[in-house]
Amino acid sequence: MDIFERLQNLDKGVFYILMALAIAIPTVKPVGLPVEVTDLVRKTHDFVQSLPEGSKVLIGFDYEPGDEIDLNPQAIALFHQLAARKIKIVTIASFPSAPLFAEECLQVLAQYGYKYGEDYVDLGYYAGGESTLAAFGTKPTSIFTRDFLGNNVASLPLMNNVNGMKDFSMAMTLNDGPTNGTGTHEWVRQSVMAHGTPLIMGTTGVLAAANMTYVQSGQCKGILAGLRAAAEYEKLTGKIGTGTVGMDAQSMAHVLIVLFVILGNAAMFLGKQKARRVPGGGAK
Amino acid sequence: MLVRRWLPTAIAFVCGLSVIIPYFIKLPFMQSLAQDILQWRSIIAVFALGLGAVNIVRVHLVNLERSRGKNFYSIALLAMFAITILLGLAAGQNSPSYKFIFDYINVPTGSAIFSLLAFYIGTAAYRAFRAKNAEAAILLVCGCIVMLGRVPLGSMILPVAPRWTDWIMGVLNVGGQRGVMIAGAIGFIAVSLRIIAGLERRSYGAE
Amino acid sequence: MKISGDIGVWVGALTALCIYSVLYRENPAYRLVENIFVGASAGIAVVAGVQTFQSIAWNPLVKGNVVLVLPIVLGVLLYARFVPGVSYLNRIPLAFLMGASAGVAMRGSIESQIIGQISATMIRLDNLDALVIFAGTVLSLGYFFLTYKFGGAYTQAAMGGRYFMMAAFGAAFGNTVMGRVSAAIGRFQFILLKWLGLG
Repeated sequence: MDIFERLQNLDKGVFYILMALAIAIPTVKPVGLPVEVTDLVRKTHDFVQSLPEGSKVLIGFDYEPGDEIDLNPQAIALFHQLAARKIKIVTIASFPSAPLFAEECLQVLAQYGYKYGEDYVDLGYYAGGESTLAAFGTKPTSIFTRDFLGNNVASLPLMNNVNGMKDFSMAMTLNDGPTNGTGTHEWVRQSVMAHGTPLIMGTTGVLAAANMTYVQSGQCKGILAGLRAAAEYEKLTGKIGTGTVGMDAQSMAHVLIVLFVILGNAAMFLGKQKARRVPGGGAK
Repeated sequence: MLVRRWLPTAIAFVCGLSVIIPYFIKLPFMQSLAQDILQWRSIIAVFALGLGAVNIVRVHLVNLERSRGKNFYSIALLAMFAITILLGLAAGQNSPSYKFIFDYINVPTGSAIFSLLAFYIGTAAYRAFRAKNAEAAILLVCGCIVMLGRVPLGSMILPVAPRWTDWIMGVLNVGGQRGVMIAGAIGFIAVSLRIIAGLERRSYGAE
Repeated sequence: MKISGDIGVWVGALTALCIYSVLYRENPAYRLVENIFVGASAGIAVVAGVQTFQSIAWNPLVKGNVVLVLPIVLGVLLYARFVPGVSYLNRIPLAFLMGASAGVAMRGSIESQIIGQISATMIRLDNLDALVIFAGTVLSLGYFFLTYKFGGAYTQAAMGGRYFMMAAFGAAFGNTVMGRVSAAIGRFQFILLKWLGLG
């Protein structure tokens, strides 16, 4: 077996170890590479900044364990910005475990003196995806009579003036896809198209490409895609968190994968060229 | 025949139409009916959650029976299932013990399973991601530019990467994805109409 | 290096390492943790379901909204699939679910995914980017005429659509890598920083 064949058939353990090192070394010894803020994240931040002080926003926690590393930092950075402008927050969740993520992220509001029931409410989980969101958008109390903590929703001052999606100045979905929950397309349909409530999205990297169409068409006012967007948002709000901390490792891993791609293709092309030069044989 | 075939078809038809009509024609009684149907659907969806759990329990009880109680994995699964439910219902979702299961078992395991793909992508990028034709080359080049443009180190290696990434995401990607989205939406509307009209009965188990 | 004394951190780190052990080969530790995870996830879904049922159905029913008995009965009928002889009864609630879902999704799709997207493509074709988006949308839509075989220039146009879609999928791939690597970073941060106290 010649060098090109050997290169093309490297043991997968080599890649696993290199990948692990590319993530582990910058995690333990961070370099602090600077994160530049992109236009898309700045546009999203500016839109949130334009919301009236004291208005209400609806945040959908629509993700499962595995995506919290991307979406929790986005939620926390957003909550810092909303709390600084005294904007009230209502959260709902379309995955069974998502209310626990909401509870974790909402803890940052304590430092702003936010009171539960008056300034923020966690309504908890709803089953049924888009249909339930549609029902909530017209009449929230038909879906939630109790919040996540077991309180009677009618007794919460913040919910007294919430009669539908129209009462929110903005909706946001923190989303990892529609499987078993409410996806981004569903949120566009049920907040923007049905009630005219502006929507921004926080998504994992996987969903970013598909949802750019909504941003370009103006149906969605902004999008935060992945850990990078969380890091940029943290820079804009001035509250550095786990988004920024992970960027060094993200950099190394991405560069390594690009190197793998280049190496693999180089081995393939050089192998083909060598095969063509061999007399009486090789590729036609 | 009535209950097996025609009743489900009629229900799908009535529910579908009752939800669509008030969206376009504002009639108070239709809107109220639509709201009730959606609320009822939410209640039924809660029961659907339990279907998966019931199936898991059935499958693993059968496993245990076949292995005469020696299938250690099924025992672990059923034990964890029972403990989680007991703690959640007795102590509450906000209790330290329930949160322990969520924070230190559910989340780390789920995240670790998701992150395995990062390693598999690395291997696949080397072994399978080959520019064998024009389409593969376009996919490969765009993918690499986006990967570099999304990280600070990438923009140091290739300074134009962030600008090109924004252009790929905001222009090329939108052009391609929009066609897929419109085509997908047309297909989706066709299937939805077939379900409501009773032409796609397999979606709810009828012939 | 300052190893954590918190039992929760130890459990979290060891479960993640058991999952990562599958990269070497399938082993009993991986299978055990995988089954524990499935059990915990199913349990969490049931707990969330019970609380949701109380909020949306039981509390209003107890307060006098007796009509809600009907959707509760329909929900119970879903479990008829496990009972031989009457398993066909589960078609009734399934038809309810599918009919309502189809109606809700369809009514919004027309506006958001067709009209909204088409108008965004065609309005203000006054710069190169807008023209490229227009061309990409038209060409990739042209690729999906699968029931009739046109020829000549149309086939070339459909190929152009494929190229645009490949660019979109390449962008999606790049972002997918970002998402999956982030998940690994989260676990490595937990194991190396929180558990082992390195860095």
